[in-house]
Amino acid sequence: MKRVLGGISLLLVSLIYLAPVLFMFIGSLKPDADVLVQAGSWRALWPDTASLENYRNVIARVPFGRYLFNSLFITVAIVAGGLLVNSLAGYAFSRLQFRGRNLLFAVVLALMIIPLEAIAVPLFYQVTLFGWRDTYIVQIIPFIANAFSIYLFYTYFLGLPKELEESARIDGAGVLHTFFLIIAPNALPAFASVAILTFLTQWGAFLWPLMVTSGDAVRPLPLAIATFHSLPPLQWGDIFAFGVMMVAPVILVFIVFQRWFVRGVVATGIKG
Amino acid sequence: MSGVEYKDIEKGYEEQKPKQGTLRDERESRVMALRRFNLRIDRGEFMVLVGPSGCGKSTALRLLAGLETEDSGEILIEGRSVIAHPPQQRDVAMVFQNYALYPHMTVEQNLAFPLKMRRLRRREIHRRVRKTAEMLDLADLLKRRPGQLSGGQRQRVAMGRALVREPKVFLMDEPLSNLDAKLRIQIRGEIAELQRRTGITTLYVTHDQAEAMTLGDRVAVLNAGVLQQVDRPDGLYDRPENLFVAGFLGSPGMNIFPVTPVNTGQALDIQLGESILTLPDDSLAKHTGLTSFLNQPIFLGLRPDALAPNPKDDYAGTLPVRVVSLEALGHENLIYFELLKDPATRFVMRTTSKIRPQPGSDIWILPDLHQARFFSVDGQAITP
Repeated sequence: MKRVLGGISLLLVSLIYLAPVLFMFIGSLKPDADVLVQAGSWRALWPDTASLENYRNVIARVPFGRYLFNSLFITVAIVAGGLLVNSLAGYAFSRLQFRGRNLLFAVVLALMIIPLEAIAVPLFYQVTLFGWRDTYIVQIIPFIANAFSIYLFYTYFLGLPKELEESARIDGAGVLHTFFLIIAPNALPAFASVAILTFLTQWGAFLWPLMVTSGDAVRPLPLAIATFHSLPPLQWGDIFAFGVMMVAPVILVFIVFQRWFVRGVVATGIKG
Repeated sequence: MSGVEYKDIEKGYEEQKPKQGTLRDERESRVMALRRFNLRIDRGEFMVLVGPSGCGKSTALRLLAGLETEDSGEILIEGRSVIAHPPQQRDVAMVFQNYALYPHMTVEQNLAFPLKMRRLRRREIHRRVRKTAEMLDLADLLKRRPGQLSGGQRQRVAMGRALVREPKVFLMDEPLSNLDAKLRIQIRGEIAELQRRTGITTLYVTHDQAEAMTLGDRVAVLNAGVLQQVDRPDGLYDRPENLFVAGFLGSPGMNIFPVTPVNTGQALDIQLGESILTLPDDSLAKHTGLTSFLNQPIFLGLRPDALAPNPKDDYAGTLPVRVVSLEALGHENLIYFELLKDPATRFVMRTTSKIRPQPGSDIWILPDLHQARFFSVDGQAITP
């Protein structure tokens, strides 16, 4: 009985959190006229007639493929670059002995608490100076090195037995061979966690692309949906369809990496 | 020719102790792991480094591997100084206590890894991996990962990975300590056999004296960073050079009695409490050094097997003792006792399983002074 009650309350709570997503998904299948009219009732969660009309509209009205490519390209580049750079940095901090290591690591940790909003303007000056505005690179480079990712890798590497590396060194591997052939393959959960966290954060990036891009050519999805929202005619069904198309890749990534992600979160001791 | 030589090695560690009441200020003090460490291992020799935890034995091994750097001194491998060389250039192979197998690789890949790092041809790698696998009875396990192996199998893979390279020196850091007692004895035999077959100079570190005594051509005993004695196992057992070695080796260790040599006419006698023990004539020559210690307190060392209940009616040269407890081990008994006149210290003798005195009873024991070893009060053996 206790378990049933527990299950029901869990279901109710998760419904509360899921409601907006369901509302968006179901709304995206409804004729535009029904979306707002049914919004205040239970019918919001039930389509009388379902069609993919709204999706076709989105693709007809804006270059969605372009935005999707931009978002994917930028996010994947940040994730890939970030995995390489941050894992190497985390490894260096956790294992290599060098002068100033502790000070440098303290600086990295301190960087975690500085939000992008705080440094957005000086950063904007800097990239303008470099002539990087309206490019992919300006949306990628500033986000590759990430203090939190470094810290995640650092804690994970600390937990790996030191003997693995010592053994590799005696077996003839240098630092890079040791890292890529021995350490990295044994730290897949950490890589998955960082990949998924970075992907989720960057997929929704809005402020920075808004500041540094002006044309459709390099703009990612979050900017595109904001623009789309203000593009007449205002059709909620289309906006919901856009939203679903924007969220789908994130959900896909999470499903693929979920097993690793959970292990990584457990192993690195981070909390969600 | 020497396989390995440590010359005047000094090694210390910074020990960081938080100052009381604060986490920030840390005082640094240097703890010495090895002091003036000199050891020569002959080519092809099986040397065991033994000592209690924290005595510096693993440090000595890691210095040779290049995993740590000495403060001063020199290390030679086959006559060539290696202190400037990183581990991968020293041509040593090591078996770690936890085996340190690469979990994501199969047994075959684990064995091949050191060869790949040395850029051997694929065919040669394959040949050597097969050969090693056959030698260690791993041929059926090549496709498995370490997680799918038993403790003993992992141990053999770790040995294989070290052997496959045919290194100049083979290092083992307590490689049996994660195995159960039965397997430990089996693999101990295998290691000895393998070393004999390959003839690779080996340095084996352990805190287990039974391993040390059974495996080593010679055994080096280390305590608090200082080398105490290097000798063949029987030499260490029979002729310990100081009280530490006497007490550390042997299970149980040597009994140490406080005694005084006294001259009662012709013979050299030993006063132990109120008893007078007479050194046998035929062993006098071994103990001429005692004459410089006449009427001074020294220590008499006797192994548990050099003591036995007195079988005769004659009480000359015997000690009255009280039995404290008895450990029956099946094939033998360990009888713990204290001196009747001085019950502060407990001693032990080893007897056949037939001898079973009651705890609490008083008996006479007869020490075999042919096996006596004497030590001065500063702990050093008194030699002729």
